[in-house]
Amino acid sequence: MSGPILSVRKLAVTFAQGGGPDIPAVEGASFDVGAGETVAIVGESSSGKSVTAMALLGLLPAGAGTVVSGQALFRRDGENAVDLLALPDRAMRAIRGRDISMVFQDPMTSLNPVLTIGEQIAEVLMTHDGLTRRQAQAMAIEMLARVGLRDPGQIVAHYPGQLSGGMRQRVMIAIALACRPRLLIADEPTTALDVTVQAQILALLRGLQAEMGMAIIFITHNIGVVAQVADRIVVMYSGQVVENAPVRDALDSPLMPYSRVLFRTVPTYDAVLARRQRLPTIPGHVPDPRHRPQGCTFHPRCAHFRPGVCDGFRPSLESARSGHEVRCVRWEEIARG
Amino acid sequence: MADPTAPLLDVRNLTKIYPRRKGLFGKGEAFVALDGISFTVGRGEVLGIVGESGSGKSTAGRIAMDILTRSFGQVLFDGVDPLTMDRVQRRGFRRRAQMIFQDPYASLNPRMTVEQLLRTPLALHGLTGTPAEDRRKLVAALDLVGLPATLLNRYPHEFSGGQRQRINIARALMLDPALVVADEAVSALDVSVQAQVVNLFMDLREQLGIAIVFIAHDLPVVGIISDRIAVMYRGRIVELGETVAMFTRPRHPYTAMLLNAAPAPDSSAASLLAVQPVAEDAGMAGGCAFRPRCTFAMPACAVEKPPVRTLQGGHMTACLRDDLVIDGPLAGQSCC
Repeated sequence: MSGPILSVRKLAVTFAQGGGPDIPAVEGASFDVGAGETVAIVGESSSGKSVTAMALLGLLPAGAGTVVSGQALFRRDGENAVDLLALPDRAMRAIRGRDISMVFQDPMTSLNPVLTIGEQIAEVLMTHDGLTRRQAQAMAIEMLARVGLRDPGQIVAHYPGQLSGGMRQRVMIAIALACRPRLLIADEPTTALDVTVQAQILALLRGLQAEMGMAIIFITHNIGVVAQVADRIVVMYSGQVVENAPVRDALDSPLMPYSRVLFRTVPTYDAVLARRQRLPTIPGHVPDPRHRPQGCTFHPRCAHFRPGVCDGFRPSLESARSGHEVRCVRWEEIARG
Repeated sequence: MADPTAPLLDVRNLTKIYPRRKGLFGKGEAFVALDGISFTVGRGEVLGIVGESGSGKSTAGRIAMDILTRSFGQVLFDGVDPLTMDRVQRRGFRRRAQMIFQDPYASLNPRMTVEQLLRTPLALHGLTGTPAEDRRKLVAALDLVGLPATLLNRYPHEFSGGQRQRINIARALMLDPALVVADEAVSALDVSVQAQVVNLFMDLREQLGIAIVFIAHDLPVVGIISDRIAVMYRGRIVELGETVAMFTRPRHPYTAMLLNAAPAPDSSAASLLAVQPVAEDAGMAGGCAFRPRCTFAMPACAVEKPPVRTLQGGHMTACLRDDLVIDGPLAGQSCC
């Protein structure tokens, strides 16, 4: 594979608050996404994972006190890289929906309730691929069949309210994939769905990815889902990337104390067998973005905290081993045990 | 007082039918949300109820709490049905059976302080004591859920989702309940917070002997906390049994599918493929409702609704196939 198709460097997003201090939602996030690769961004509330996605898509409200800085180099086939963060709105609109598309958690609020499913898919194709209405309708039916909906010829005439949650999410995926994007950004796409429907949607995404060769940024808080879909995990905590590693490496031997304990808090079937044993927990809670601690932002909750070492300066993301980055000054000592 | 060896909650043949009309004056077929379900919850026992949306799991919890009317069937709390209770018994039932909901944001009055929120149940039940006694109760309830007493004068918006859910639990504890029905009580929480609240429920059971009906869709979470689990599909309980036995050898193909679909970090990617699509033909009459998604269906499954079979150890399944041996995620790891 020839280089990443997306290189995010020092992405920072700050929201101004009337009167109060600014909210640094994302503080210098850097990561790469290879062509055809699935990168899962994992984190809890206020980790900055969704804001990162919105920034990459150019969907943060311009002005209104929102400041986005850094670089996000996106390479389409055989073309020079464009910086998504520096593109004018018009150019961004041409990329969004065609080269990069997105699927969000709630399909009901993302679909237009007064347009038929067919019209909504056709709109994308007519806008980006210049198809005629008739061609676009035919293509819409084909896309609905691709995402596993039965009777696509009838579903094109339906309105979103007439479909179930799982069907609506399939429609969203059909719209997102209509123009064969190079990169799909999916923000909690299966969180609102039943586990069986979730399993189908994940299998569907995997299949379409293999077929179309697109890369996926998969944003989720569900580690179980990550284990099944991702090639690589980027763990975010309070606005920063704290660990970035291939999925098995990250899940089997995480280096950052936060990821180490986060992964263990997830209920597993093994934990079911240990009757009445308590789940591991992380003491305290995620810091308020306006008042993040000095030094490593995780230090007040960290079992490996050392005064004077962890609370002085913000650690930088360093390369621990091949393809495995960690933001912790003590990771080597901790790994040695 | 009822027999202490009898179950605390005994639900029999519970049925909920919503009449459905086509158009304004037309007739339509009824929608059966609950189709004759029966289960018991022992004192201090945790019963998990799992199922997809529309399976009837929340409906079952709400009817058991008598906050939703039923069409048929019996709910016995300490041997007495809320429908036949007199005023005094009813008040006792309302005190001893408490419910906790999914959304910690919607279930706390934003204009009340924590202290007011926790005092309200005492006042409603005429249990207000001296100010010193009440304060002791408040502090004790907060302590049980792991919140410091310094938060008593704060308002709900000052708390995170996990803290709000703890306040909800503390409020339920003010009345010293024997039964708590938790409907998706940890589903909206972040993973690390979810682990804390799951542990808290385990503490409540062990320290206070509270029985819990834990309704959720996340199988590993339900498995960790529950002694027994009822699996619901389209208004029926299709399998009911002890957790480890069920996760080792599920007896109903639907349970096996759910276990397969629930991604745990230790489950493999291949398991995704075994899940059958959801059938949209909800109005299918007769036979097993799971039949269209079932890899083990045979012609007889289309004829009659499978009766409930009771197996060894009181394990129950509503599947005609008694010849199936399906491995669950704990197969080969447990003794039984």
